[in-house]
Amino acid sequence: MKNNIEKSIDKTLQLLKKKKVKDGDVIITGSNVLSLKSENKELSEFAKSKTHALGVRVIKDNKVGISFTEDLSDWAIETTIDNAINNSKFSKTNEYVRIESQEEIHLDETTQSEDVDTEHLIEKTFYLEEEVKRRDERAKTPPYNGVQESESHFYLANTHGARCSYKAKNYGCYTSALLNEGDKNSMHFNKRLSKNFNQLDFDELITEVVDTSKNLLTANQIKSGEYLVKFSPDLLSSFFSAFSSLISGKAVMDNVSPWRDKLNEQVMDQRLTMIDSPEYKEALTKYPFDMEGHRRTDISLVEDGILKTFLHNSETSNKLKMKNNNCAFRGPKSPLGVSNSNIIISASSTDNIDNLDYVEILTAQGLHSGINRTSGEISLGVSGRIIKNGEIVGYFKDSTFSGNFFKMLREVHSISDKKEASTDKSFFTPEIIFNELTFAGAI
Amino acid sequence: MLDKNIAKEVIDYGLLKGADFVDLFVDQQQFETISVKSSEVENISNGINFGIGIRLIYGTNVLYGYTNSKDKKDLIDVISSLTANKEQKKFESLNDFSFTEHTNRHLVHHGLKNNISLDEKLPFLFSLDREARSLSEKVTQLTAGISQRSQDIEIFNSEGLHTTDTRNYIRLSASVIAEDGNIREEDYFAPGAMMGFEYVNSFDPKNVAEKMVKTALTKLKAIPCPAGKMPVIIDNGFGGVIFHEACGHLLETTSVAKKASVFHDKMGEKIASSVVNAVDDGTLDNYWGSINIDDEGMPTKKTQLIKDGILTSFMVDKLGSMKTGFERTGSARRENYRYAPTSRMRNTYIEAGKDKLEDMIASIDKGIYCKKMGGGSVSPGTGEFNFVARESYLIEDGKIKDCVKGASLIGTGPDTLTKISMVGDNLDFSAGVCGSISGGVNTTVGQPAIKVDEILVGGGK
Repeated sequence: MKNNIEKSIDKTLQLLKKKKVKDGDVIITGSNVLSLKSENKELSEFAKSKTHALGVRVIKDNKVGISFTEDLSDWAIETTIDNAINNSKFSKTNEYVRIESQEEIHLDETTQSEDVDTEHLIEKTFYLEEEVKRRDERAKTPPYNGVQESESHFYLANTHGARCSYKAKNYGCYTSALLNEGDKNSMHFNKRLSKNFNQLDFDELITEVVDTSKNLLTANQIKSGEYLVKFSPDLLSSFFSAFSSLISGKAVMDNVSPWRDKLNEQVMDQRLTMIDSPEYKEALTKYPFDMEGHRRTDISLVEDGILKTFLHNSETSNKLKMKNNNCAFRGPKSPLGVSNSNIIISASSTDNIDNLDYVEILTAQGLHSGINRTSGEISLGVSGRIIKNGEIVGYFKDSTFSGNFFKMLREVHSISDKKEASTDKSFFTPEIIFNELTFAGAI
Repeated sequence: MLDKNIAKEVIDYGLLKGADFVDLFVDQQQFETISVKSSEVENISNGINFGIGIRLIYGTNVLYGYTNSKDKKDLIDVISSLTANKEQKKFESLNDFSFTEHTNRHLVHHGLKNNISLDEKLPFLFSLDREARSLSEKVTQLTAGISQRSQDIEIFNSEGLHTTDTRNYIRLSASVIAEDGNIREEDYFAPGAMMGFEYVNSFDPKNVAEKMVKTALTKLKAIPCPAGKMPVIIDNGFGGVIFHEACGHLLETTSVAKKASVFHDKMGEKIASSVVNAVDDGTLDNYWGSINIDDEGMPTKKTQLIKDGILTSFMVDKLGSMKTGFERTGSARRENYRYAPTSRMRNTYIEAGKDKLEDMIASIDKGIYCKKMGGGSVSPGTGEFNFVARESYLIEDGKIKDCVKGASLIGTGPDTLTKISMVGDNLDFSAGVCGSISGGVNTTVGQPAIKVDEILVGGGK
């Protein structure tokens, strides 16, 4: 028995055929989300939603047209196809992009997640808030505090016979500790995500946000100067996301990737290897197929510090005369691009960092603005802790850090054998200590 | 868009399930995006979003759900799932809705409902591309786009309100990259308005290209910015983003009501230097952040936030009013039906003062002049902010010197407000999209040039 989304896929393919579209595809995304937030022991949000979006892409006379709708009625689907065909008439001639997959790929991960009673989710939402306030009397009502259950569905099909689907269900919890003492304020926020609600460690999350906020409350600015630096895995992951054009075949094609001329050259420390791993076992999200309907596999992007390839789709690979490594990405509402899946960094040799003096940056402000994606310059407001001989000797805040990301990657000081993962479990790396970077704070 | 009888039955069902207040937000948005890159059409896309948000208020607690469907059964199902553990109660059925028509103060000629052909839109972008590339061989890339959105909303609530509005938005965006050897720099221009395509035609492509290319070429020669505490002049227009992020959000009842704002108990008190007057105004004709009515159906208004340094008003939505006792200010906003409304900014700015920019520069021995600000972020609880300057210069001995790169401004909003010593007479505005708990909404930021006596500057030197 087909569900409504599968029926809409069939309807779209029938209409594409009726309108004599030889090369066309359809993407439908759907999500069911329950979001709970609490404030002063009461639910400040109980939001439940079920939504979907359908996107059509056609290639006519070597020209691509796209259009989308959130209305899955027959009329809306037909109008969307007509709009896509009309849009293609104004598009540039593009002899590189292809719709040709005939693969059938399906992965349903919702079966790995147990159902959780809504009352239990509500209890846990209150627990987060109350426990943060109980742990420290200076804590105000957490500005951000909640629990979320979300199920997402991706479907892709094309006129050549490809049929792909991916379903996943995740749970998340997040909270923040806003502490106030006299005229001093501090806040720390974090979250946890898991396929299984029972694996969310609420107490560990609460301990982290309260303790960090407590330490930052009395922290001062760091003494201006240069320090060895370690970034939290979330922050390092954010840097790689912000500089995604480094490994994007589309950015190379558009002449905007800073690494566009660096193929087979050293771009990272020679001990480091970076892999794009769509079905990495420890990752939260899997990427069994790309958005052109091809199966994704592991890709060695950087080997021993040498740039080996970029992420490609049919268009970038054909235009740049490189192998398509099936990293096409697009949503129902967006044009074709490329995207990484899970990023895994590993090291060929490691160092003992126990005796090092360095600064560990825990949070940064201004990530979307303090980064120059073209030049690699980074300048951010940061807070964190100072490590000496492996021991935390102090915390700092209201300080700035600046450096160049491209240079940082090439000039690594030390790599530990300890592995770390980002909170969303999409980025895995050994602990990396980067060479001296500039901090401004107290004189 | 939604049958009135269905709206009534759905609201009645919410009241039956014990809600004190129910409202429906019917939202249909039409989009069109066109873009040019590498002197070719990069993307043409269009589509329709549709959904209905249902809000049930119990005391001051909110239950919120939404669906893409306008069928009665689906709408009732949303309420059923939201109120699964609620008892039914006796309620007074809504008699009928009273339709309220609002004056449309934003005249639009070529919105998406009266759209003109792509043949008439694309030439502007190609012209921009040609002009930019002709100005310097160091220009290696230009991307430009036009995004238009038409939003039809219809609001019903259990107090009998029924009202509608149509909002037409347009935004031009362009960025240029210049290269010199291994150095790459960029500049961008992204104005927006509550208008149709006639807004884009008000710009001269040559003029836009010249400004962007000049800035990108200047930045190629920039030296590292010195770091440390120093006086800073933040010029007009997008400079207002700092007030928006580091102070404006703290004046929304969304954070005031939960006492997460440092200003929550400061009404009537001096929170800024006496030269600071700040406003949030939803009524400015055709401005990007303007509205006719807010997303709870209340006519919008002009709200004086700070007068002579004294806090005079917060931005207040229905729930914020219920929690704090302050009167609503027509500030309830949301990105779309997926979000419950909360108090949000509209066109927020520091009002013009009397100082001249040249006098402000001349008053500084050593500092930074931030001609154009970039984006930034702020910690909502503490007001700690970090903003990058997109184009900035050293000031030495009262004169503007070298262009510097990597300058970022770090501080806290409340502290910075008290350190503003001069306010210029050159008020200007700039469009942006503000992200917060009710999604991304169009907001205008604005200010004249201001002098902050001391602020921490992050740089590369």
